[in-house]
Amino acid sequence: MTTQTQHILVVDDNLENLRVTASILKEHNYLISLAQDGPSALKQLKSEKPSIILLDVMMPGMNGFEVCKKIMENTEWQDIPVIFLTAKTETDDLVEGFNSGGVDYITKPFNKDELLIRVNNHLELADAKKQIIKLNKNRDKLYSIIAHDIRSPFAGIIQTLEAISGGFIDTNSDEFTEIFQLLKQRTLETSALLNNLLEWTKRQGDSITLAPGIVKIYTLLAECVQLLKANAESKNISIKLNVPKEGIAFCDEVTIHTVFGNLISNAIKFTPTDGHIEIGYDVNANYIEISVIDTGIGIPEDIIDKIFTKDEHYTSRGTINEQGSGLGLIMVKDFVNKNKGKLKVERTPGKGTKIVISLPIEE
Amino acid sequence: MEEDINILIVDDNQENLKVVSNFLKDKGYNIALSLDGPGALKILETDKIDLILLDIMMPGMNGFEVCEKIRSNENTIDIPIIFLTAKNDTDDVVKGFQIGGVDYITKPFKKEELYARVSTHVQLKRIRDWFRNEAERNLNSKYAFMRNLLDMGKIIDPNE
Repeated sequence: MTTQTQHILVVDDNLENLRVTASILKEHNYLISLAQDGPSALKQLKSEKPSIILLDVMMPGMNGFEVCKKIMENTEWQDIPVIFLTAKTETDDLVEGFNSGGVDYITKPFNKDELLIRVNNHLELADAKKQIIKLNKNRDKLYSIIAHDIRSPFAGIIQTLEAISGGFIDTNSDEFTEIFQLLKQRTLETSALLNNLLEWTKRQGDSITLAPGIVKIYTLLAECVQLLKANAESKNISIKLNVPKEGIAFCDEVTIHTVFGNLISNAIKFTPTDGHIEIGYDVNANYIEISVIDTGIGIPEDIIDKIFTKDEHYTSRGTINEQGSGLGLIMVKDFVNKNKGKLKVERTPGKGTKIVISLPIEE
Repeated sequence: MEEDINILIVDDNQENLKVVSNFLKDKGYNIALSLDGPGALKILETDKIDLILLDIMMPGMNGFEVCEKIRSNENTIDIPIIFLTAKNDTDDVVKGFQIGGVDYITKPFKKEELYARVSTHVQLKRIRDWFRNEAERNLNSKYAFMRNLLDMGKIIDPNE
């Protein structure tokens, strides 16, 4: 179930013990950090959170139980499984170990298989718990988006349709033409949002399979621009594609298509009528950098962080009141990360937004 | 406990069986008991068991043999087995892991220790089952729900 490298913190006052434990774990591709006493272990936790802690009980100064209690008192750390390392004579202390929040213990000198299996069990359990929490959060978010961003436009659309079929609006009037345009726009926006949602749920979790390969970046961007041409034209926004035709990246075409589609559509959304959007290109070491620069309203400073967090549901309307889900940029970031790329937001007040995506050129 | 967890305890010593089962019953688990390997295998044919505590030293069929039988049956292959060993016999521990035990407990053990090991593996089993079910649910209900929404989109957006 666990795919990424897991980080283990080993705490023991005996250097030889540290060395033996670390070498066993390293052989199995765990990332190891070491501490020789409680206070320095706690200090390390502040800078880097390990996936699991192996904690010696008998240490001078602060003993293992005290260290464990400190860890469990901290809400940031209390989900880290702690396994105690005890000398055989200490087995009576075990009860105290479990009471102080340890998930298991290993008696020294330990058998290699035993160490590995206990570590592995608790890593898997902690990982699975995290995954379940994440799944639940995603589900909550999905429901909240559906509640806010799909239900309300539908309610508006249905009400308007009822007003028309009830004969409250003269179908020959200018007002009707306007309402009709609005209906069409809302419907298309809601439909686009729905597609985003579907794409996002489908690609959530570890089951996502990317098919990375050499992608012609110009073709892909030109396609995105073509798809959004109508949106841009309706606001008289010009889009300039400054990308050489031979530019390539090593990435998954489908997800990166979604990334650029979202970025360009956002740029259109937040750029006032008669504005410009420029898509630039640069090569930096082993990466290509694609930038989307608009002359729009810019992202307010205090909101930049929010729009990339899954836990917060942030959404804002475009310059002509276009709907959004607050989902687009979260998905964009997810997808860019999964393609081993980077995303940067630059903002010059009053000058619009510049978003830069770097993607690897080679595998 | 949200749902029923059934634990099978296999030990030729009646007193051990009693102590272990009383403790686990107090913790809210359902308990099935067997004094020997063949009896345990019979229970597994009919009952849904979530975890097995298996003594190694038993007359007739020993714990390792019972474990191998359980692991070779497709219906019981996923059930976690924790061995109960008389003393800290390193050979037994290694062999236990090799043939598919998930952990072991040395007798006599502290209740806290027994509970910690049992609860770890019960949770792991439940979570694995949950993910398996979740995958099926994803294919069925969640997509059905999303598809309904999509169909709704189609009704008003004929280009979709």
